[in-house]
Amino acid sequence: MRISVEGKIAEGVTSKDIVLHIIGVIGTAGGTGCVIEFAGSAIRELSMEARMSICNMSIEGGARAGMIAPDEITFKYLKGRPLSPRDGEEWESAEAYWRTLKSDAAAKYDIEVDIKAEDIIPTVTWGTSPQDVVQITGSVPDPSALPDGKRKDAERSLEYMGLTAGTPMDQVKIEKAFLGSCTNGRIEDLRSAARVILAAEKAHGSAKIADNVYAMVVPGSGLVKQQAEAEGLDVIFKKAGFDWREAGCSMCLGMNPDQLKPGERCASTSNRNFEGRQGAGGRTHLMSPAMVAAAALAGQLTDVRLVMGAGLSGDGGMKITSYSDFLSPVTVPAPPAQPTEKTEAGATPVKAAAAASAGLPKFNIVRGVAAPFEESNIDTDKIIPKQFLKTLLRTGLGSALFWPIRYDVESGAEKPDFCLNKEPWNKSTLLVCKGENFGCGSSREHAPWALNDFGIRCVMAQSFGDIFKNK
Amino acid sequence: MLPLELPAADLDELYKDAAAGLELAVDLEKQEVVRPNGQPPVKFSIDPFRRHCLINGLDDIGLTLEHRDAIESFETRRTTVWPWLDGIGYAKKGQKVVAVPTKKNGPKPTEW
Repeated sequence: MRISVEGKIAEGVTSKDIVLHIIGVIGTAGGTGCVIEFAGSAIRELSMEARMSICNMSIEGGARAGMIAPDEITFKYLKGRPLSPRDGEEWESAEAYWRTLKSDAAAKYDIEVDIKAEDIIPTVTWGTSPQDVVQITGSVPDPSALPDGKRKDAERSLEYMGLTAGTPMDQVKIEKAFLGSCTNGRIEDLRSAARVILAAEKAHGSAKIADNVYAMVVPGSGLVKQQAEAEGLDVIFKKAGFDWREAGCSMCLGMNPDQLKPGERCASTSNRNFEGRQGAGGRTHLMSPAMVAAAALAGQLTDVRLVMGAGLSGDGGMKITSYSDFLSPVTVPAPPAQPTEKTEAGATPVKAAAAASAGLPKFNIVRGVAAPFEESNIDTDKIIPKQFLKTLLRTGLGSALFWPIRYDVESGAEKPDFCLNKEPWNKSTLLVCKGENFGCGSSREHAPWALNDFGIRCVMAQSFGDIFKNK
Repeated sequence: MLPLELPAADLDELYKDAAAGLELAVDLEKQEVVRPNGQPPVKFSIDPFRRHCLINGLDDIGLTLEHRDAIESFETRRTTVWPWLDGIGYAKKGQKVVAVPTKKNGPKPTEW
């Protein structure tokens, strides 16, 4: 699938707005079965980090992956990074190869979507799916105006989100603001949000987050946090009343104490606004980092372009550092080239590795005494009970085989009458079970390990629990 | 390990041998369970792929390494045509991975 965004993106509109707009056009199932190539003049102008935000959300549009062809911006980003091809011949050959990685001019795509960059303005979600987007100048949609198939879902979404049809989006009040996540946690995203605060300060005198709003900034990684602190972004955020946090997933998915309470509304830079994503009953509105900063200051969703006023263009006089000050270069010389032909050992390295790998012991004929069992439905808790499951070693469980019926549960002493505890069955290599459904119940792999460690290589029964039939 | 499904009648016979402590033999090549005292063996059938893997001792790694020639030729080609993909810490073909030292003296202890 190729999605071409042609034209020039307006000031105040970011790559997050582009991708939200795109998903609004194609839907969350629009890219199913496809890999999306993002192309067009607007995409070409974007920085690497902006492109990453777009590709990050390809999955939300249903696609398996998102791609943007490499160009000068890509090569400039990669050159000199610690793990990139080293400067010199290696870099030259890498760059030469990468330049060939573009789609042919006459390439035919299964699906082509054309979008005009001028149609895109700051965009937010209103509902419980990334495809429920609307421009900030718009209003909450009316389900009765939607086609039959979509009406019920929209009604449910609106009820969950606590929104009434027709409400202008820039009147929706928020309680929390979250700036972070894989989608928008990079240094450029933090700068974008900080610029909003500086412009608001210039335009209105002071810029503090609204009362009743709790706002947090979670840098995408420790290195981003370091770089942001070197640029003084943390000071800008903290002065405005944002909570400056350690890097982590945080409130993107509420898998940790950073969660929304039921009914709380959050302006978020993350990628998913499903029901309960940020906390059970939590209400998520997705938008760009700049829009989240604007919403936090205003206490409600608002058009960032109005908040920034004259400061919309320009870098707001912010200090910009280079990433290379924060990434440690790797100073090890390249290891010597190994020949791929025969080594001293005789075999090529792959063959030597193959010979060295243990593999399974071969099973041709297994002779021996068979332990006799009569019952059906011998479950795996009986074969190896829970107290032995904490080990990951496949060896050592032989003495615990059939523990609940083999040992006295109270004293731990061997029961002399149990077959495995007496001659000749204490050396069994086979097991005969007259019953059905051997090994039913829990899928603990420890059960066959215990049998194997005891020495039993073959179990005969009328039938087996499905868990013993993997692959 | 081999899980072997057998009909109830055969299992009853084999159970008698097992309870008596006599020796049985499961012959995967001939697909039969050999009984003691000259009694006729119990024949069984088993999925041919499983039988092939068990007889040859092939696990997932073994099955993959059956393609070792194709793997070799791919690795040679990759190093020749795209040498930068053999990155700094790359362990070629059976070598050990060498930990790449970083410039700093190790990670700062975190305060929490």
